[in-house]
Amino acid sequence: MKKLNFFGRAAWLSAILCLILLRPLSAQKTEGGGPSPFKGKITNDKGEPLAGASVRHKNSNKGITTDTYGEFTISAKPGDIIVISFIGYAEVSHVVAGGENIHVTMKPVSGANLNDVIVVGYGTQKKANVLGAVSVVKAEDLVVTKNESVVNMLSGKVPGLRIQQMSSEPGSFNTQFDIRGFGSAINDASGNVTGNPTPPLIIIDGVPRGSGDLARMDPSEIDNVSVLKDASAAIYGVKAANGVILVTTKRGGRNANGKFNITYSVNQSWQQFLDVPDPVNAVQYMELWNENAQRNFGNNVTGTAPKAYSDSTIALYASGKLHSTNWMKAITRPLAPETQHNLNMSGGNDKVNYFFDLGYLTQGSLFKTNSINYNRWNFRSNVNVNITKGLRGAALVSGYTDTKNAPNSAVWTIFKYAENLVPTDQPYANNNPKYPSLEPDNANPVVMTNSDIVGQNIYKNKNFQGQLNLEYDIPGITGLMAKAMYNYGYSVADNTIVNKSFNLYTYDQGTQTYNATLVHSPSTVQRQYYTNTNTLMQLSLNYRHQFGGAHNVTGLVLYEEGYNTGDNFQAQESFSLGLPYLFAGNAGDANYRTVGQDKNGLVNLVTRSVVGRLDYDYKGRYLAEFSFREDASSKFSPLKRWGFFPAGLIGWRLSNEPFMESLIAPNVLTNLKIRASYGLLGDDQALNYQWISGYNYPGPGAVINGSYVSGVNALGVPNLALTWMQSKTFNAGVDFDLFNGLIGGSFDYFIRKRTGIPFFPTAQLPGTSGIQVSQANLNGDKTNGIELVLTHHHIIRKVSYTISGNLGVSRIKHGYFEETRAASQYDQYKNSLTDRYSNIWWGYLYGGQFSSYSQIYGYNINTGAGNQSVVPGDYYYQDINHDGVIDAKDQVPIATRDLPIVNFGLTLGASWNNFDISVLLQGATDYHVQFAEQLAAPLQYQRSALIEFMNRWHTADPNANMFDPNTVWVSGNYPTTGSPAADGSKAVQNATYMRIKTLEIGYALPKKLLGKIGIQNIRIYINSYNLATLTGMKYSDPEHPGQVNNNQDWNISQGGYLYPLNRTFSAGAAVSF
Amino acid sequence: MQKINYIAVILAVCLLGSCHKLDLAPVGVISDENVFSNANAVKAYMADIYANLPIEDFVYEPNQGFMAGNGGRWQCFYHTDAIDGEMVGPFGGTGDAAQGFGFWPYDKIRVINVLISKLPSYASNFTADQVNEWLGEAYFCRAYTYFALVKRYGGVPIVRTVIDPNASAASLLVPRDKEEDVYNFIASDFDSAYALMKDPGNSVPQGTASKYAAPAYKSRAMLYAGTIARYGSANYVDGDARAKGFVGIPAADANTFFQAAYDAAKLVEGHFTLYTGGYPDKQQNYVDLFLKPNNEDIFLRQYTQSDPNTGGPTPDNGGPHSWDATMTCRIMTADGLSRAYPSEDFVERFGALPIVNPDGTPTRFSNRADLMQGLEPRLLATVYFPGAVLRGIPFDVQRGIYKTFTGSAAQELQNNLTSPNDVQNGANINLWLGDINAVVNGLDVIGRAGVSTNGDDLTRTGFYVRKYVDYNKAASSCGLYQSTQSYIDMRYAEVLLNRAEAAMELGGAALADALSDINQIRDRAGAPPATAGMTIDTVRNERCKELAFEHQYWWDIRRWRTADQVLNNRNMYAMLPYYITSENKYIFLKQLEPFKRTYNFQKNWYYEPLPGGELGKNSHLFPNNPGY
Repeated sequence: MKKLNFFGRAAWLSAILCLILLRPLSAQKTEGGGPSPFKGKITNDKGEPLAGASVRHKNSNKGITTDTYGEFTISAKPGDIIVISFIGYAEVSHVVAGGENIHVTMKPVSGANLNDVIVVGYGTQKKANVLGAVSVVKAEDLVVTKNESVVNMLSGKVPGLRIQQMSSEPGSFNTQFDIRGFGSAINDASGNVTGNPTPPLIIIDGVPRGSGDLARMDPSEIDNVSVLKDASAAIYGVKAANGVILVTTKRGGRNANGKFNITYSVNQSWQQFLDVPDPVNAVQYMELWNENAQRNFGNNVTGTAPKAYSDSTIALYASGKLHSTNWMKAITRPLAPETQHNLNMSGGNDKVNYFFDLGYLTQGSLFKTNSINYNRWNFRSNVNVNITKGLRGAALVSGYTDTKNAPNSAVWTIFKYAENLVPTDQPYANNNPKYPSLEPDNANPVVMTNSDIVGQNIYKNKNFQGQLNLEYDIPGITGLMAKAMYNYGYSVADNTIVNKSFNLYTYDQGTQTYNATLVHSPSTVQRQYYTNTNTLMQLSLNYRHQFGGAHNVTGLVLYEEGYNTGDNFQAQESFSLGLPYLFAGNAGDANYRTVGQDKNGLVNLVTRSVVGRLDYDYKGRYLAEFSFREDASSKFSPLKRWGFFPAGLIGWRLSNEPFMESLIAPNVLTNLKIRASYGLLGDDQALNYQWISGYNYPGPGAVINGSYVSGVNALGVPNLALTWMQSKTFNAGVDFDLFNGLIGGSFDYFIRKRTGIPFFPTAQLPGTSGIQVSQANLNGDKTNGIELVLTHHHIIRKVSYTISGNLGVSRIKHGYFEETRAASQYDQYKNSLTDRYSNIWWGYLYGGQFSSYSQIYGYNINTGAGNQSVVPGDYYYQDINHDGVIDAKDQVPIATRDLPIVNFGLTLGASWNNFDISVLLQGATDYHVQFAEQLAAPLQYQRSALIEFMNRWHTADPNANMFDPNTVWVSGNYPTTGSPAADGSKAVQNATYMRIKTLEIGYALPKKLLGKIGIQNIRIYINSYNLATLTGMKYSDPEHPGQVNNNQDWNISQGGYLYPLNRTFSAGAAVSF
Repeated sequence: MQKINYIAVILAVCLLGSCHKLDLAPVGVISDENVFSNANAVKAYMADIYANLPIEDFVYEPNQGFMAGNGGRWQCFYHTDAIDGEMVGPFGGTGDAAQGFGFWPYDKIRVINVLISKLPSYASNFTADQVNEWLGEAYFCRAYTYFALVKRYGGVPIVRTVIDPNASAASLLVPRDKEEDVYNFIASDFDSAYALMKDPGNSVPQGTASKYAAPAYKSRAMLYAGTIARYGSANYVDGDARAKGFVGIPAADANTFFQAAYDAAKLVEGHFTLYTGGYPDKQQNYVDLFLKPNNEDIFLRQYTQSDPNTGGPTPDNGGPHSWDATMTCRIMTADGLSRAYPSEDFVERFGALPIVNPDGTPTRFSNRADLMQGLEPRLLATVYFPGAVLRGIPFDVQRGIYKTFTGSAAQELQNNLTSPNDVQNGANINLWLGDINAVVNGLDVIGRAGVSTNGDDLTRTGFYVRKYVDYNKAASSCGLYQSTQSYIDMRYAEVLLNRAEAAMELGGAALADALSDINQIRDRAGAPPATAGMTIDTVRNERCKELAFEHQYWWDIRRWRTADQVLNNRNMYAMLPYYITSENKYIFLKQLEPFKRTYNFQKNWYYEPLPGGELGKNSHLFPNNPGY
């Protein structure tokens, strides 16, 4: 890949520019007197060619740079001294003997990686020359973390990339991520925050793909990941406002003899589940229930209610005569397997080189039945060919296919009922496993996790990508290259959803009979089929040249066209023969027959773009870059069809200035660069053809004369002026390396202002107009923050180690926000969003817990109902406005909500002889979580409770009257059962955490041993994911989401019942032949 | 040269794949002209109007609104009549829902106004009759929607035209109209509907309005206006909005409205009849009235299991509801739970139940079902009593077991409510109470159909709702979202009741007509006829009995301005069966329903507050209703 992209970086210039600059080009050719051509090749210590290394005559200082293969030709006569230098490597001098071809292996100066080639938009740059805020994760750093999702593997490794894994449910890939907080969810017509944030644009091998595709990649096929966070992303135009993640896959190496390497690796993991809630047993449940009944004034009970469970009933469970059920343990297991296999081959010669990868993953779930499980195959074949001189081609073919199996029960409901079913109920009627018992809502978790009973859902995805690249060095103009690329992508989602009817039973002790009740009737099978085809074509001219040994110019002009079509249909039949196929449908029952199509899945979209970029640097000191993109899409109104997105970046490498070199020795200050960028980017995700007028059909309708008539619905008043959001991004940064890389780092500061966030102008339009308005570009916001990276690399005796820390801080503030005129000053204070920080959590400020009746009697602030129903242990809150009453007006901003404001990561790596160890610490702060439902209070829905609620205030004697002031109380964390649950700052918890995301210890078997049996390398390792977490938060993993904002998509947290996160312990090996 | 060939071939392939135009419209968009020039498209347009008509149907929730597309669509027990005491259960009290849900359907009114203004210019595409029919339906639906507004807020802005989106900001600030004017506007729209639609003869379309639906609804609206004029003048909260006529109607206009109600009701006569197809079994006849298509139905909302928009991205009102699953108990259904139960207070509208002997001791019954003997067929068809049978399974409602029972019901009620729910120490106590799993001496302490005091998924009053429950369906088909019986929003019995009430209010010569109307209803109900001395209370009580659980009582006690007296710190009662082992008999005790909800009605709730957001956007809506 490195080679190819180097060509991608080859320059393009306008015709005029070419004409002007061609003269020095030809002048250069006449260098030297009577010398003969002298050829050479430069590689690094790993044998990889170094492209762009400087090769010059020591005396004249004239020279050239190496090509993509690290090769050069220079005219020299015997005795000349040639100096070869490359940033980050020790300089090499060579005395020309005459007539020889040389091969120079350059040794890196410790830790410096300034020569690394970084993938940026439509090309590559040397790290030393990068002007944007671009972070890179290399393959070896990526795969240290073992996970089924590539997104999770990036966690903690990229400053400014905020990643929150919500669940480890196999096949759900439920991880939210964004770059610097960009792409935060926008508001819908009613001012509600809609759904999830928009992820960054993801480009895999030059092709825009979905975040699901990224998550599903085989980590072994990835060469590197670049994250463009500022105006350097502007080259991706109208889709780039939230940043860009560029993924580049591996290419074949070039071995002298055409030899290829085969590597097989296997990783066996055992998943352990973090914070699976633990329900109470029957005795505890009855204790809490009795307490609740006594405590509960909520229903205007005019005296205390009788105890629901007598001491003798409780004794039956306490003595073990009757068994209590732990519903969670009844369905879960402590460990679940996960296995990854990978086989790849890489190799090639001067003509052809190739990389082939085959990966397999299978992941089980924590259910005893393993009824949720996932497996995936990945495959990739990347072939590069030198067709003839100056003409190169590449064919990249890849694909994946995966299957998720799940029982026909929503996963969150399984957890909900496993947490709240009462422990006095039994999973089976009369404890007879043939008869699953009838539970409230027909929700018996033992059944719900059993696909044989409830039916199995099968979700299959297939994805194919085929890409052809062609590069042609245009003769006559050195450094000018034409390039063409065509990519065909095809994906299919094929789902089978089987709902089976089944019996649940109650047992009648009197008659000793099982009463069956048939539920989930009738049995139905539903098939859903979605296809999507994407084609992408790129034609470009690239130019790259150095003029006068000092002026480096690269340029690019590119035309891109994309076409995207999507289609889908679904059908459902009820079935009676037990065969879950559409053909076996119950012909007599048309009631449950549906045939449909998801209109949102019908896509027909064309995009066209023209892209340009010009890079210039003077002796690597003064650097400048200008890029633009002109984007058009059929999604846009004809009035606003084309958008122009320019960006400019500048930088100054102070460390290369002679005056600096004289001031501070270059081996002390290896690198110091300051840089700034500014650009305009777009975000078109909210545009949904709101410039089209007319009616939607078919829409919601009515049943008329017994049959359903679809309605037509007006699309609303079109807004032809509606256009994409605009983001203006400014970034300033500094990069430095000291002592040849012993210490390095960078610092970035950014501001992004977004304008034109689509919003419905209804906030000020009286409802009586009845006008259904389209969105307009109304709102704005501003995000700013900093990022910091520090690295330290050193070798002490035989121990080589690296420490790398990163930190990202990002905060979003609303700009203008279209809102209804506030009714009062208070309303303005409480509800106005304009110029306010977003993600503010409002609530009461916690005061404390009442500890005695005397405190309650003396408390002169009314917490509701004149404090008449307050008992010791109840929470109280601060009376902010001092009006003697606790009500909504005492709510103040108490915390920030949603994704963390501050994210950090720390990587520690060390190797000693054949041993290596890697540790990744990852964490977040300024991050808050509020529990929902079962985690928030006991006896939700008048059912059971979790064990932590036993630690509560309660009367020492369970039979004592809790309203008697003389009753003795036992204190606890929580108020007594039935008291109001925690609110405000008591409920909103600081979820700051730091975790050992990754720990890996590896050992490479000695080569001497292996050489004899034809094996190049064997490395074995043990690894853990999420090994340990340091947090003040109890009873839940900090990343596992709790309660979401009222207005937010409930599915983000699903009431806090999302499948839990996991910890894995893995052992694995990689063998190379 | 070969190089050139390669390039040429590859470029050709690339370019061939790239001939896509930028002018691609989304799929499924229809233009204006297409909608109004094609009969099927106009029908689809009408379907959209009917889909959004604010019908208080099975899934309407008084605090949430019309549940099209809402996840709460299965919760049929959040029923309006559970805030007014006809039922008790899901709501903590009247206040949970008395202030509405910010109903403001002007977007739907606009859709209707668009049809009224645009269809005439496309009239040449259709027959005149067809155009008139559609226009008539549109006027009907507009009046219907305004009635839904006026009964909540009093006067609201009347918008008759399609407001131009580019109109000046000032002209968008439409002011409030007087309550009386809104009623007159509604009357005139129903009149237009009546005039435009043709007589359907015997083929009344189901699910859409027909000619005689217009006067039927007009009779309801005018009756409301008349009672508000008469009783609102005596019982009100004063305020600016009242002074300006935005709420309240001058008492002097009462008779005008009553006369309009009476006349409209009379227009319907002869076109619909009370259902008697199930005679001679009057109880079964009354049950089937709500389940079988019949000539009493004037306007329905229908449902279908195969509604393609059920649960989809844009669900509508046509999908199945959950009445069967959420009105009776789990043992007769496949899913869901009930939470709303008819109160003993409602049942006593039909007369006190014979559960106490003259000496004060509870009446003994050998069988729970024996209580039902001799009760009015309509009552038994409206409410499931203990011992009634549904789908072969009896309602074995039982609150507990007495070993022995001596003394009076009144004395026992003093005692037993504080006994613990203890089945294990049975030896020493006389009354066993317990949860659903409790068994003592091989006997279930409470019935599988209740009474439960732990949860609210079994009856707490001893009764279950029977009206609309489809007894023909198998239990396994009575899950959530599996009921498709139509909701009858207007039936002829109501027209007769409207007519009788208007006649009583008018007095004089009309009184005889009122008596005859009431006796038609009573005869069909299997109740003894009323006599000439009947009062307005007789008529009102008849209305409550006949239209129970049909979302009427709440609006009735508001317009009669009696809500603040009827629901004054009111607790509702239950009638709970107990078994006496020593006698092998059942007794019934009338006691407070176990959750002891308290119902209160504040006088300012006679009108709901205008939606706060709208007040913020349109200063001309002020003043808000009194008391807000």
